Amino acid sequence: MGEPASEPPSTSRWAQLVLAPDGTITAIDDVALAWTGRTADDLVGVAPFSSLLTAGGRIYHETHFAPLLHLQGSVHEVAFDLRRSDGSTIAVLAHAVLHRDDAGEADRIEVSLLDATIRRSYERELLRARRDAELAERQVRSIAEALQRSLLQRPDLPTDLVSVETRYRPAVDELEVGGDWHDAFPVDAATIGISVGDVVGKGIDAACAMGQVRSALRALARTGCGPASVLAELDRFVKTVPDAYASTAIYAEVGLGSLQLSYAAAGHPPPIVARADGSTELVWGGRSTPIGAPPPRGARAEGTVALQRGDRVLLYTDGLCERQDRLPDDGFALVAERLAATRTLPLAEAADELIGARLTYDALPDDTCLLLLEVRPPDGA
Amino acid sequence: MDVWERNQVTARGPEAAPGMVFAHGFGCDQNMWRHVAPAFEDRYRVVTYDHIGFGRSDLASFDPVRHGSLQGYADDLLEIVETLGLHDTVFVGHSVAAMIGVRAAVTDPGAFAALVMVCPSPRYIDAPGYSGGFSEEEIEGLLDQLDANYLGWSAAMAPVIMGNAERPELGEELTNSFCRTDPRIAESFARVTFLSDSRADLPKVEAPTLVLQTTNDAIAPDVVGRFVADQLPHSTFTHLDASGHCPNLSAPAETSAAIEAFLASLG
Repeated sequence: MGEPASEPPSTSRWAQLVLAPDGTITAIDDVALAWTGRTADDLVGVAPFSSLLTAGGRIYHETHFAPLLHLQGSVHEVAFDLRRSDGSTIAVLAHAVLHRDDAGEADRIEVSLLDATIRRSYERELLRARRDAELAERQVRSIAEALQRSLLQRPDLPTDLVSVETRYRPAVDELEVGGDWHDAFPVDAATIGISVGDVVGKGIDAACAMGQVRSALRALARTGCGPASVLAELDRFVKTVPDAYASTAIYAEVGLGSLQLSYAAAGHPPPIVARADGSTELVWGGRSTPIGAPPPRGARAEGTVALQRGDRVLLYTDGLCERQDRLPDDGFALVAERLAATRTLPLAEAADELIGARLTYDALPDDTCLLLLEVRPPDGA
Repeated sequence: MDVWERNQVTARGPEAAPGMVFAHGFGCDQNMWRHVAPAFEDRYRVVTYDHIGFGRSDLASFDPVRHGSLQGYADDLLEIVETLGLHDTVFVGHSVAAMIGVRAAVTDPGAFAALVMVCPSPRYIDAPGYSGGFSEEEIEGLLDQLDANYLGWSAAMAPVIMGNAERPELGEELTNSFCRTDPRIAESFARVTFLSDSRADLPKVEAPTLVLQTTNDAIAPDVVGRFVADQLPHSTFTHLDASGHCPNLSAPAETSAAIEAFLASLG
């Protein structure tokens, strides 16, 4: 042990040292000696400051502390552990100032150490909390991914007359599972059903509600009752799924013999048809109110469009075109333009283009999905 | 994202002159070279840069897989050399960057005409018949040390630290910003730095290489510097009076002079 300090050193929270420019200790006070359990003879003129630190601290000293001292002239609040002669450590916060002589050469380094035992224990708590939070974040992320994978599988259709590509792009914050869905399935041997929808809100609740509505829609569609009736039945269904109230959706059927598209839209952006001749049309018919809020009088509306070989149909959610500084109609027109521009690309590439060129500000944290259907072009076309 | 922006590349000196690329080691950023690099700007196309994840590099370009080994950092370096169209390039690497240069030189033997290693170590952890200076437990202790010093990292500070091209002065206001980055990136680079073993690469370096060893280097001791020089086929070993691990900051004149003498000896 060093010279007994005039005051009990354990009551002092500050220790001070002076170092030569190369880090060698040239002066050390009694508090620092008591903290480390060393004597001045052991250290002064012999040992570098970094020899008082743990191995991790020595590396940190060389790679961060010393460079910063030279770059900034001072370093503040660097956490170190001092090694004590009995093998235990004491947590300190180090402040250091590099003093230069008149010629600008490094002259001495003054180091102050603050006993940080209590602070460090708080910080360990914080660190533990951060790690727990990171673990929880990873778990939520994997739940979200599993949900999306299970719900948004690649459609497998038993026909080569109609091809479908689907794309989903998560919201900017990937932790926020979205409520957007797409689906494509055979209704019967001669009919293909396609749907795209958007449950209000975000998070696990929205995703669960989305899964229920999407499955219910598919089950209802397979009864063969047609798009308007499917949506009307969904109105009844969502009374038992409050989180799905006011979802928007579009459901359409393509007759494989007639090539007729029958569709019904519940508060949802209009489908866009891209004709083989290069023209596009926004399909504004067959519209009614969102799911769960049926039209006050009469049945839900249904529209039809006659498709031809080579035509494409795009269903999408509003994330694809929503922007706060323009009218929705302008957004739809832009999507139609993009659809026309990708007309000659293979279907999968066109879908990639469309989802990649989402026409919104990136800051809008909405998830987006789309479904692009193509009626096989005539052979040889 | 182009390479310039990705690695915050700075190039000075005559464009047609031979290249001289300075790479920083674990801890801080290209400011580590601010007192050395300018000494060569009259005769070389002097390039400094930040490894991805450090300084004002683009943090979003950090790829945990690519940057999970020295190879990723070496590939970044080779991309810089290629993008800038450097020729007859001298590579100068401090600390772990010396081994990034080795990996790059082994990957593309034509990339460098000469290498300068400042305080190199090919392996920090002791192994049978080899003394690196540290045990595995001690390196784990470094990770705790990093954690203890990254509690100040917060979402509010991140944009400032991540570098703001429009307002570079923002970063300067921040204490310790030269040596600070996202804790996950720091931990990853610490692992790559201190758990890598580049010993087998050393005999494969064809270019003449200068090994600069300091006095009392707590990270890369004398015996390690001499091991590096022994293993390199064409090496020059120079012992500096400077002490500590960062002679580029603590003794820039001596460091520059040693590099200068080595380059002169190459003719």
